[in-house]
Amino acid sequence: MRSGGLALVAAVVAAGAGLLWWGTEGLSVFTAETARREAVALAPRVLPDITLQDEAGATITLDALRGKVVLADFIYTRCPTICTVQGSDFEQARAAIRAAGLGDDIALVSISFDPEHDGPEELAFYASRFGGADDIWHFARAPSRADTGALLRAAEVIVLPDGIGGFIHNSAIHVIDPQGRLVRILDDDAWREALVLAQALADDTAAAAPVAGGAGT
Amino acid sequence: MTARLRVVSGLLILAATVPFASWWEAGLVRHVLGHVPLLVAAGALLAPRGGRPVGQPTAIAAVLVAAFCIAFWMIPRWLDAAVNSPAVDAAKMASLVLLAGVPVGWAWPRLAPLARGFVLAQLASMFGILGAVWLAAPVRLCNNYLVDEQTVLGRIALAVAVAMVVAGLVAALAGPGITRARPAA
Repeated sequence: MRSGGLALVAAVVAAGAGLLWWGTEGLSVFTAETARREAVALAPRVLPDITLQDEAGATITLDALRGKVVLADFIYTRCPTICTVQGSDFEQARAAIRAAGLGDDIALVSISFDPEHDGPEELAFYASRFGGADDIWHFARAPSRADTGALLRAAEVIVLPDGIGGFIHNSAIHVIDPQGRLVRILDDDAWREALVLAQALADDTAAAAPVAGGAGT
Repeated sequence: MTARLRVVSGLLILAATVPFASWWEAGLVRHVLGHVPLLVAAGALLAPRGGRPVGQPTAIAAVLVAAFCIAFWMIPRWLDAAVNSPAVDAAKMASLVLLAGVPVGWAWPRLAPLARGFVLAQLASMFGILGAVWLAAPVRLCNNYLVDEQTVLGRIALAVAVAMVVAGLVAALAGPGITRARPAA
């Protein structure tokens, strides 16, 4: 009876420890943000091909950017804090892309999650704070709230009102490969790392292309 | 508390927590310090009493089941997941009632005073540790909650820890001394 009770305690401790181990993926994943990043890195996911509208009012889709590596961030144009920092980071990233002659391989897209407020005009004004839009850096919104929601859900981005008229969101750099799959999520200030990864992904695609187009296997 | 009163209050708590989960989960503080403890309390009130006596290890094992269950739902990613997914939320509510509340309610009357004291001291230090973590965390731990709420939760948890320690001290000072606890003969 006594040893049976102790065996029961030991079994509960083992099962409980196993549960916590499983629930944190080996004591490494404690937050949903880490879980989202790990999940994407392990199993890249295709984002819904929703129709976006850019700062000039033109239609733009993520599908249309296939063949390029896309670095996407989610913004709202009234954002007074982190988006501004992220904006100037992307401005530096764009300069680096242009300097390296990678404009055909890597694109930047800043997507607003606040379509009610952010129309093309607001996006254009926001873009102008960082040197304006061009063929490398696009500023866009999904005009419909439903499409915006679908995109945010697919990327597991959660936007909360901050109580003072703005939003709080898990901001990050989303790396989308030339096949249109979200392959990595990096810290919002890690644009250098994102560029290194983007270049590697672009090189992979370039290296793979002749094989695919060759004799065929 | 009579058996009927326990069952009625347990059911009332379930009626106030389960259908209104989204209200309870709208804020971090009420999720962690409202929804979770109330679900555990409901399970504890509804737990079967009486029955044949069991050994201390069995009662301790039941409390450990509850401790692991509660610890799991205190992992930020699972708290977030409960907010995002109705299925995970259902699992949260069911397990907190059945795997945390019921075992505690069943085991508590069977636990020796020393084991009870240990559980309460452990609970107090857990509030202290979690409070310190929530206050010190440099990032948002839950994507569904603001960092301000994390700070509020941390302060309240620290206050709870201090209150529990003070209450324990008072109880220890006011309660029966060791000499009186021993049988005279």
